[in-house]
Amino acid sequence: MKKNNWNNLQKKLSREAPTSLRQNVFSQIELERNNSFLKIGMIAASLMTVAFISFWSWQKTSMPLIEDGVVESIEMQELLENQELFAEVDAMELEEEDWQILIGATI
Amino acid sequence: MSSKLSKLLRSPVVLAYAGLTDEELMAKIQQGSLSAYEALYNRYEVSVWNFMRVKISDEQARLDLAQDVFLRLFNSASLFKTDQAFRPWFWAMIRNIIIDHFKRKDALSSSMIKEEIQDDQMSEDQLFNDPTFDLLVQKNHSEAVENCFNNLTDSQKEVLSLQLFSGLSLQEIADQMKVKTGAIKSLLFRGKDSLMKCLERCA
Repeated sequence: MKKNNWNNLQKKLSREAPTSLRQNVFSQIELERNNSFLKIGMIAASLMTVAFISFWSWQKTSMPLIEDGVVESIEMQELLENQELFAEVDAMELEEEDWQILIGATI
Repeated sequence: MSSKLSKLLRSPVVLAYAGLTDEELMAKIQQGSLSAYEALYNRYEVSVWNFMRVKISDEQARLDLAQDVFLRLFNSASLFKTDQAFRPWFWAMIRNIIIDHFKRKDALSSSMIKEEIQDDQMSEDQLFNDPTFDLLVQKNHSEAVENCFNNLTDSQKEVLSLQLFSGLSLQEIADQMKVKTGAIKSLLFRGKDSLMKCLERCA
């Protein structure tokens, strides 16, 4: 399409954009990007906290039993698979003697 | 050439992305490249600003809307399909932002259809290659040209500014406005005619 003559009109009507436009746009984008990174960081930190609490909780409930040799005959995998059951049993606050009876019954 | 423009043209961003098309730049933006975005911003800053000048008279509102356009360009980059043409997509977005700004109470497309007659018989050569019109524009100061331009109807101003600043073809402008190409030509002819009469008076 020929539009040579309209180039003059374009030139006469053209003005430079104010510098504040560029500044506003790029500072806003920078801010949004930083916020996104912050959000990602917060999500990662939350996940790590949840993982740590789970591990800590598991360690607190299961490790003493393993260390005391109460559950030495039970494989770790089984322990993990039966975590829910263990939590339930743990809540019963059994004596060591009762534990041994219980373990003996499950082996 | 202004010092700002010549500095911009020598900037590393412009030089690095000079050979890339708009669509290729959008693909890079989708991958998170801020430099590609800056290159695209540099290409369209002046045309968007001048289009906004025509549409929005209030300086602060114009600045806010222009800012909104470029932020939306960045934030909506993921929605752009790189096998489609960038310009019609971008200018449709700009028009939508402006229409939203006016809350659609003054839908320009519909008013334009009512106001303007269609005429498919007009030649583009006759429209765009008119030495008398060119001479008149040259003879007048920018302020006079701008004043005359501001006296055009809203629909004439919109179509003329799209023609001048968007780089869209007549067909693409017609698609944006959802009218026939003849209606766009008609608006351009009438706008040019009004401009000529006004500039003659000023000269």
